[in-house]
Amino acid sequence: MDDILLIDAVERYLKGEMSAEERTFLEDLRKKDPEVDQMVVEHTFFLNEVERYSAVKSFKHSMIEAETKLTEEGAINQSKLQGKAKLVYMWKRYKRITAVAATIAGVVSILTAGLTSVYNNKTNPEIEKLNRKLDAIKIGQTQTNKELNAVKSKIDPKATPKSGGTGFLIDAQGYLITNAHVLKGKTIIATNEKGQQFLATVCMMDNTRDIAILKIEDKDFVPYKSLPYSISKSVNLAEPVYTMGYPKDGIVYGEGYLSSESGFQNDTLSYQIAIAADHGNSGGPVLNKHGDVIGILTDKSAGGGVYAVKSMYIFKTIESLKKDTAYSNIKLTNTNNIKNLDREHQVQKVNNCVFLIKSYE
Amino acid sequence: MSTLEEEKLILKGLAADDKQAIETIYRQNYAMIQAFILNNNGSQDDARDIFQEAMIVLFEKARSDSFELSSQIKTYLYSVCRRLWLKRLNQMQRYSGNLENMEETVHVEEEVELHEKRNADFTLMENAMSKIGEPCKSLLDAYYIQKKNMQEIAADFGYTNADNAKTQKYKCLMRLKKLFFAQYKNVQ
Repeated sequence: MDDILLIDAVERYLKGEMSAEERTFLEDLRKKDPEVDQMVVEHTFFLNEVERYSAVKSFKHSMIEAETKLTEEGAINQSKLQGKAKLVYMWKRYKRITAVAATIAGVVSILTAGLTSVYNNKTNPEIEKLNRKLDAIKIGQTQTNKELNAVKSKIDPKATPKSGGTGFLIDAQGYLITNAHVLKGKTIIATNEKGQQFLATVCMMDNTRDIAILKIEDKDFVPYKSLPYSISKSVNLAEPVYTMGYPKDGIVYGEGYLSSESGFQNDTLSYQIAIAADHGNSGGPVLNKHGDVIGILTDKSAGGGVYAVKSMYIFKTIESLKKDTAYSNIKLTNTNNIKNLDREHQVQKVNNCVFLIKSYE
Repeated sequence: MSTLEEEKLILKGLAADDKQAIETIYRQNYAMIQAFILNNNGSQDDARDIFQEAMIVLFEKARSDSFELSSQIKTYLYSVCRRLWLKRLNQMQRYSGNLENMEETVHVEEEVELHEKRNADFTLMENAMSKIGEPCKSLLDAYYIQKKNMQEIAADFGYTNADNAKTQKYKCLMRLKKLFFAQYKNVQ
């Protein structure tokens, strides 16, 4: 207990909160007792370290915010170089590598040309079939969209949702992605973490890959300037991942790791991840440590595991959706400005891009 | 180009972690530093790192008691970045002859050395903080970083009174101190 008193005294001494009397007393004590003196010196040093740590930490945070803001404004140019400067820069940096690569590329291309001419003969009929199915579904959905636009009140408070889950923005204009199985009803309401509700319509649904794209069509919705995360295709076994979703009405954070690069019964559409997740987490983003989206969480928990649809199918889905002229302006998020933030701050930014999805009859 | 008075004002803001001041310095200097790094074998990311580090050097300098900047902010930042980048290139053994000189420089070697030592301390503290676990981390954070008083902390964390919170804070602080000094002595 004496130590507590002493530490407390030292802290007040350093902050200048002591009365003159107390000061003299402590200073006397220091002179008489070298152990006390040593403790004061050590604690002063330590508190200075803590103080500097906290100052630099908050300064770093302010700096990253300033960077992000200025990059968005275009006042500083971080992600892109343009025109000549870029060429010169690339050339300076890579000239040696380029020379070697060119030589190898020459040899390889001659070889491949030879090999391809021998082996090239197959295309995949499965993909053709899938595409046709997709078209059929799209037509069905356009129909539903029209009906939905007519809905005036957002939702009857007494209505019970048919199904629900999580969805997240992939385009700042208001395109959401989620699992197809989350959408069993016709009227879809997306609720953000502040509790604001928005009407959403289905742009497309792919039951095989369990992906659906929604568009928030609501006059109350203000499109975002940009999204904090980008979408990344590269993953590593055992890398730490986290997710955010709505297993209940409030948003819930969970973390885990990538445990397999294939899903249930070697399903190559998905990854297996070890993470605490509930049904409501379905459709939520799976992010890596940089805050890049690497998949869509799905709870096809047939084997008891948790799986995530691979992010490459987000790209593929959007590619095929873009063929429809109504959606040709979709622009997938492609810059990550939370890469250098710590987890708490990443989560703060991702928070308002993750929505609770409920579908009603 | 800002006048001496304006520069003093900016530095005062910087010392107080003021967003406006930080933005102003970025606006006035980032492009120049980025061009320097890119022209000398570096990437966009390198430029960003080096600039951030130089900003921290300037920040620490601005908030020290004996603060006096004998050159313009621009010259100072450039000198620090140049020094830091030279060191970095040496470490990576990518040094390709002379660094081109875009600006005049001032003598900053000692300050960069000091910064590196502080940087190491920062990492130690960060490690120690990450090891003490919850609720210690939040508790110390609330007291030493957010500068809340014990009554508020007791209320936030659900301690029945400020004295209990204080005892808990003391225990946590001792743990942090032990972790920090254990590494500190290893490094020294």
